[in-house]
Amino acid sequence: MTAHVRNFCIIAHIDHGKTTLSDRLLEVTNTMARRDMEDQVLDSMDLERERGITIKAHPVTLEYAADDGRTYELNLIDTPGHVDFSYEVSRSLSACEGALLVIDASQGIEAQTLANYYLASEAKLAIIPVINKIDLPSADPDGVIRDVEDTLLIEADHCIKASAKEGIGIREILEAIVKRVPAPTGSADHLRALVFDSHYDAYRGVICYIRVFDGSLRARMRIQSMAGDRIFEVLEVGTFRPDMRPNDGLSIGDVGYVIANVKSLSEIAVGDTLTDVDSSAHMPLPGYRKVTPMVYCGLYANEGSEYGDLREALEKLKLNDASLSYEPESSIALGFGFRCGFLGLLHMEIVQERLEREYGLSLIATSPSVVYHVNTTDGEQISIDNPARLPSPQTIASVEEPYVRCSIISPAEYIGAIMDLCQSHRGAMISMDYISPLRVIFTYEIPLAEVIIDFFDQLKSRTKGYASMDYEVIGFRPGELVKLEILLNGEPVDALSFIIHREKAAHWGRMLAERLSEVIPRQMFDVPIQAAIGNKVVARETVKAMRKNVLAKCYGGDISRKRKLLEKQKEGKKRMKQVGNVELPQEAFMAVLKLSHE
Amino acid sequence: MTTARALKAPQWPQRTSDAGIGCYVHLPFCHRICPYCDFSVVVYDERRSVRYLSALLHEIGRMPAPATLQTLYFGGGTPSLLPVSHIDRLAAALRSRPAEEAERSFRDHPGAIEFTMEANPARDASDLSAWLQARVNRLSIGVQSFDDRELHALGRDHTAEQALKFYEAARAVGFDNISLDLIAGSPGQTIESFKRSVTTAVACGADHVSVYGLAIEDNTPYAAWHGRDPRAFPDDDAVAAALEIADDILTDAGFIHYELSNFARPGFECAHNIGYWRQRDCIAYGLSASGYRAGLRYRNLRSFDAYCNAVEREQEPREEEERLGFAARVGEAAMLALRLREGIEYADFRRRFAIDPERAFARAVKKCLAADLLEVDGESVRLSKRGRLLANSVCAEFLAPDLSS
Repeated sequence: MTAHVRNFCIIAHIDHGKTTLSDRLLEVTNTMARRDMEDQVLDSMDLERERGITIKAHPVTLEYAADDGRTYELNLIDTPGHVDFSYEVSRSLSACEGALLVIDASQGIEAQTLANYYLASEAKLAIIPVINKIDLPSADPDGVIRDVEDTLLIEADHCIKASAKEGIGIREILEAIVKRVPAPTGSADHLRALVFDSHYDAYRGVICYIRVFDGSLRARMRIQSMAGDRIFEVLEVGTFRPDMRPNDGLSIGDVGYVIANVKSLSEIAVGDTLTDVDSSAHMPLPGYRKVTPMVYCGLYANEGSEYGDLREALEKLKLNDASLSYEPESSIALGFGFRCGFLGLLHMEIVQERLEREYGLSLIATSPSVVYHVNTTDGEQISIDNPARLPSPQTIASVEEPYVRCSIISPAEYIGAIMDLCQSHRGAMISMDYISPLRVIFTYEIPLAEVIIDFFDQLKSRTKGYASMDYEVIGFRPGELVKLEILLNGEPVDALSFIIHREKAAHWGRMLAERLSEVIPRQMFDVPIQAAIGNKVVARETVKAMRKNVLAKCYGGDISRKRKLLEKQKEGKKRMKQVGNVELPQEAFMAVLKLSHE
Repeated sequence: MTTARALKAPQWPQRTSDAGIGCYVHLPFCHRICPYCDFSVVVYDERRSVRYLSALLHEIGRMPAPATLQTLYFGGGTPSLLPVSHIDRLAAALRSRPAEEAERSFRDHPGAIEFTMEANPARDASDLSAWLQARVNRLSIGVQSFDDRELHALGRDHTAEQALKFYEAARAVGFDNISLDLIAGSPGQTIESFKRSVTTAVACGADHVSVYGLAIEDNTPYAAWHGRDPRAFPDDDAVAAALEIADDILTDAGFIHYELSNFARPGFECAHNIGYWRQRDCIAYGLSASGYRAGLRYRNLRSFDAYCNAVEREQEPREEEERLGFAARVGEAAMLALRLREGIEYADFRRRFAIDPERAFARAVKKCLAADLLEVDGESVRLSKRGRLLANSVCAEFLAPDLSS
């Protein structure tokens, strides 16, 4: 019954051509006529398209008439291509039996190629390496295949040479999916369906993307989410071709969607297992885990009145983004807002951008922070996701910070630059190996806090864009960490404080004070800026009071123009945040991010 | 001497009222365009000037100045550039009935209204008596500076000496109400050179001095220069210092700092300009001229040909119009009133708008008082000495009055 079904995904390092390959598979199987295709069909969010990355996974069912004369249903599950979204990747992978591992024929194996490969191996997927872009003059498919053999231990004749752009090798890939990816298996009873993603629709509620492992799922059935422990009635089930098309039911191996009057994602978390209330499964499917954000920042609406709008917007984003977390917090400087947790920096940027763009909010974001574990002198351990909440030094026995194991792949000529960079970011080298005579893979252990502040940008610029990196969190380790506070007008501004290694604190304090003195506009009075560690001031700058701000002439022809000019200035000031009696622009809160550029 | 002239002070402001109307005529011609100027100006040539005169007369004919006309202002451009015959014909057109009737109603100075003309000191003095004949009774001379280096940097076509000569000639033919314009913040200006210009203006006996901080306007050669080399220009702090010095010198010499950029010996305040700051109606003629009538602000077309074509085709030469809502009118009135020495007079605002100004501006007042930008008593709100240099910040707060009841 499931012999004609194949579930697969495509994994790749960013820009290796995953999306182009998806498009080509859709086209070749006539799932979508070429003229109906926008470029990159599967990435439907504008933002994704602009950034050329995939954030969300959109499944689609392809009908493929194979060489053996039979027609197969191939369920393609697209996966995100960025390090921040590895949990999303893992959920998608667990819905599949096979994976196309796309590798650029000129770039070769990159850090995410490896990371994705390991994830897919762990999920026990059949892996089909696709050496893509062989049409490019710089392509070296045989060299890349050798590296695949050496590094991934996959035999050369398992690799398929292709060019998604030129349509080369597509048929071969489809045949490989049919022949090499196992058909799904499962038991006919006791429904178990994995929710590997979901999508919120304003009219229909949550639309869960599911993969059925056991049993079957039909409309009007009563289902239960096993981790969330809630019961729903199924209103509609169907498949993606590529639009949602309702059908009678989904059974073992099928990939599709279910609509069950689910109002919010918190009712059915992504990664949860759905079962039949009347004949429920004993065990949920493996793979579910609570997402733990690693990077936090405070988000505040620029005007207090927008607090409600911000909450509503976060609620809505959360519907489509299981990995976003937020809870209310209040800052002395910024008023009421939310401490938001993200998978990583890119995720943070995307959420901020969507809040501003799609919800028209004007936001203040504080600089990002990681979670710290503070061991108090009372023997307690508390988690701190906001530097302002770090207890006073007297009560701290020790502070632990998250570390990551970071793999960096780079041309050998940048070895020195990379070692410098990692060293200056408190990294400890674990290993350095040659993948090929010209390419090196480093493994470093680095505090996550050092990685989230522009490490990636620095890596790219120091290696002219040739290095790639990936990381995973490996745990918490103690460090000599202190809180660096910023005082404006003598008052500490909680939203500007951050936690930093003791040895770097004074230097960063000086840089930050200087930077702030550049971004804070002149006000009605002098604004002293101080950086302090505990009670010790380590740096001081002053923004001199504004002296002159007057329209020279204001006669008949000037009046309208000047009124509008002043209104505009006033509007511009609204974008600033009033902290005490100092007006701060958004840049002030992000100043720390820009420091290490200098 | 000061006393003697004070006796002759025309006291125009006292003889005008909110019920009257001003009239502005834009005469856009210049011999050369100053690099800092963003007004609608065109290089003078006779054919253009004739065409423009007839367009103006046409516009005036279509919409004559009303009987309540109380001030007349010829600005530019360089109005003094025009042939005397043109000035005559324009003045006559504007003073033809019903304006002439209006003048008769100003009993204590029969047959006259305040009539200002802007003049460029590069002009030889031969037309001065003819202007007086046309009943121009106030001259505003664009001196800008008494420092030749500054004048050169400003692209002016006259020297300090020429300016003084022109001024003396005007006095000689009988002009008894003369204003001089000075610019603070021109490239190369120092505190000393600026001080010299101010003291020269005082010493020569000017009745009125306007001191303008140089504004870098977009799309001018100065904007490009400033973009390339901002250090060529005195910075804001230096200009602030200069403006304070001008205030000190002029106030010590008996001038009244009656508006942010304007100083006058008592009785020599400019009634026409006070009309703007009191949000009085003003009818405007000519290229790019702006008027205000019954809550409507309008501006004529800015392009020379577009303006002339429109008038010649019997079309309204308007480029933009904005009807102010009540709140906008009150906010704008406050923005303008704050420029005046008297500030926002509560009784005046109560009368003009039937609002409680103390309530309407309570928030703005509180905020600005905290920053030491205002002086307040039970009757009015005025800019403090510091507030005068930071007037934008103050005015911006007053633009949105709280009129909820």
